[in-house]
Amino acid sequence: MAELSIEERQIYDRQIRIWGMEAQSKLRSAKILVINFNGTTSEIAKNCVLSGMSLDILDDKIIEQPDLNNFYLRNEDVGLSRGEAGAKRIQEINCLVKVSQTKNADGNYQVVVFSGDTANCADINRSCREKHIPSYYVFNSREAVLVIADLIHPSGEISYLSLPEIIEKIPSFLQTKKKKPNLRFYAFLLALYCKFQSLPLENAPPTFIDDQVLKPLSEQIFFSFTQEFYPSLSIAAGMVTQDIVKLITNEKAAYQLFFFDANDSVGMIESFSTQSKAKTSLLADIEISEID
Amino acid sequence: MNKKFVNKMINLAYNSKMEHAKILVVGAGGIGCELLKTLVMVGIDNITVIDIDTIDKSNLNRQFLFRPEHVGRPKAEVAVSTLKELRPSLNVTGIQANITNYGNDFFQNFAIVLNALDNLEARRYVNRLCVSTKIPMIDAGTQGKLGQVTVHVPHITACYECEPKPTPKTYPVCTIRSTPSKPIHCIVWAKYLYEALFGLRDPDNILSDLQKKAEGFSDLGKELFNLLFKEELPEEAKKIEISIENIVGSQINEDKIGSLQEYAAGFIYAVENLKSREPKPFDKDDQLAIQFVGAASNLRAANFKIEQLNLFKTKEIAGNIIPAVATTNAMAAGLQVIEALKILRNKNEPKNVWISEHASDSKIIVSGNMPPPMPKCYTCSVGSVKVKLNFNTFTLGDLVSKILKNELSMQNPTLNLENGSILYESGEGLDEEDEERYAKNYKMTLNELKLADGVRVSCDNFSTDFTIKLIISHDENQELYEIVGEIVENEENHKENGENQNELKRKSDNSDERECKKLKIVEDIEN
Repeated sequence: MAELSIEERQIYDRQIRIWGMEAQSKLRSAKILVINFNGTTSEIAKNCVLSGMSLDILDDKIIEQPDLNNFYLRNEDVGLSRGEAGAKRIQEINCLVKVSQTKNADGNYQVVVFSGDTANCADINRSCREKHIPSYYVFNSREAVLVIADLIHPSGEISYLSLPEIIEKIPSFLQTKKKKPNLRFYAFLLALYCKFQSLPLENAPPTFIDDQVLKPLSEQIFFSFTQEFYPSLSIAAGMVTQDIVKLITNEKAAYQLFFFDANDSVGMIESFSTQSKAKTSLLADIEISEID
Repeated sequence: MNKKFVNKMINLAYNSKMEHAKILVVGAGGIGCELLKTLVMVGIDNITVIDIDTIDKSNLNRQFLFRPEHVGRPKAEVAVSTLKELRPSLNVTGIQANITNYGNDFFQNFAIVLNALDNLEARRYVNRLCVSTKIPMIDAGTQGKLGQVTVHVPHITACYECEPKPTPKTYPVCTIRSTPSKPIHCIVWAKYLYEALFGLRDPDNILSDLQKKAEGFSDLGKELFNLLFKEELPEEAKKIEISIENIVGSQINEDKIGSLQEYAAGFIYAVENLKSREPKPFDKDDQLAIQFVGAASNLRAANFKIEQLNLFKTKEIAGNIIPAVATTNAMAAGLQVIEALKILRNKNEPKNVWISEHASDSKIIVSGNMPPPMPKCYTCSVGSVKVKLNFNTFTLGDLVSKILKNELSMQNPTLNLENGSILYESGEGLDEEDEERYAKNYKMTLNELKLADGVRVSCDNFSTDFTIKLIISHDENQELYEIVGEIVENEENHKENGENQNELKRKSDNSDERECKKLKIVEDIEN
């Protein structure tokens, strides 16, 4: 691997002190695909570019006023596509990397990042898995934000759950009794499950938490889906980028699910096992005392 | 129960009520840039940012409002111009200055103060002003992938100084001068040596004797080398065996541990260049100073058989460089804005929050309640009163008789300044000299006494065991005086309030943190 230039060493000095010189050169040759340039992915793009990674942006939506709820897009960008304007603005942040708009996502990507509605997620995930590319999905609902990672290994040898497989695991996870469940996390998972399966919330699968408690929360999340809250999305974007750096530098990724809610300022991580139900149900033996 | 949770899911995100609050951001560095961005994106558009620094290349990996062409320019100014380029309608002001030049009058303008600082001294200063002006302050700090956000609401929760902060580590003089055992001891020694020879030349420098010896040297590099690494050594140290005579100066490598020849060459190179230069205090971004410290510390390490370090690592230790990355800063700033919104919107209890690298109990971002003020905290616990008066006409006697005796019912107050010096004392048992001095002070105006605007005077009335702190600010137009801040509860009252507030205490739904006093500013969630 080519050595870092003096310029690169000076600019990246403070982070080389965290992950080392070799990791920094690996980041230089990495390329990320960003799908859907919303507030969340624009922050991830900014973080990736600052870390020293190059990226392609896939988004041909024409910018309208509501799209300006994105720090990097400006009034004068209205009328351009989000991919075009986004690539231009993110490129300005670091001239040592390459940021481009892509129309057909035909690059050689190490990681794919998506944020938005659930509609195309399964398709995106399928194409990523075909090429053994790990992918991240970030779902916003105002103060709350959930990240799901499909950590498929580039060699394909180690088995990781796909996005639909993770979604499939949600009902059993929500039935597994836990002493101190993070209610908003559970409510978010329930809402997400219904979105994915196109189920109305009334028909949501049962959970071990009283419906009276969980359903109203799920409803709020359900109906505010895709609404972004900048402080929360910044936190999710930071977590996602840190894990992308880990994947690229061959460190073990930290999580499969990350959840943050601004109401209590708690960030949770969780991983669903690739094993079948039998194993997870061992946890169910723990008595729950009181939910409040 | 159900209703409670729904209510807790408050509308932090889309509520435009408090958007025009004036916010002060102290620091436009790593956290500062992220903070400015996130504030703007939640719709806060009235921001003042202050920073004394100029932009360095090593800032560019995270301070994303700056570009390579901005290197050398003031951070506050460039941050504001980049923001305005993106959002022309913003009302943002950038000030390039040291925050410690600003007093109560300045702080009073803001609804909340957000710290994005990199040093303890400035944090303490901001804390004191926030306590005296009763403005909530939210501090943030990061180190590598770790981060911390703490909320301080004066007199309601602990202030920044309630919990003592670790002071920077110092080493005994003899360890540095003659018995080093760790790389850091050699680096500290090399920095002292740099300051003695090419830096501040402070007579109190523990190596100033070496500077005197070096004054007579004709070939500074070679003679100094022989003196330091061969002659002037304790017996148990190992002399460096190489001869300096034929060594030609050259720079040392940044990444590799060098040979003794290479360090000797680096030493000669640095000394040759430094001796003809104007004295300049040590600076981590000064290549020559770093070359000198790198060469000298490693030669000394060889003398004492201590592990050697490459220049990259030496620079980190010598310059107190804290590893930093955009992601952690973005997360810390996001949390700061979240807690600020909770205060501004008077809903939801703000939390202190920690970002960790590894999850514990599935939590990687952990929050906890704000602790109550420490009764013994010097900064915030003593009762305090804010007074405005004209320093040019108001005398110390006026202060004692009109304010302390009449307003605050003190009988025989003693007035101390923060540095411990006594301004005034009355009663029996004073010696003649003191009595004369106090009588003189009594007639002098505050200006003649050289008291600064915003001065804190601790007033003790020993007979009633009553202490109050006066925070006095200057007001040209004040004919008499004006008490602007009410009396804040002293220790006794604190306890009482604590009990009352306990009744309002509620359980947090998902936390196992200890229960603390509920915030006064937070309304009950059912409201």
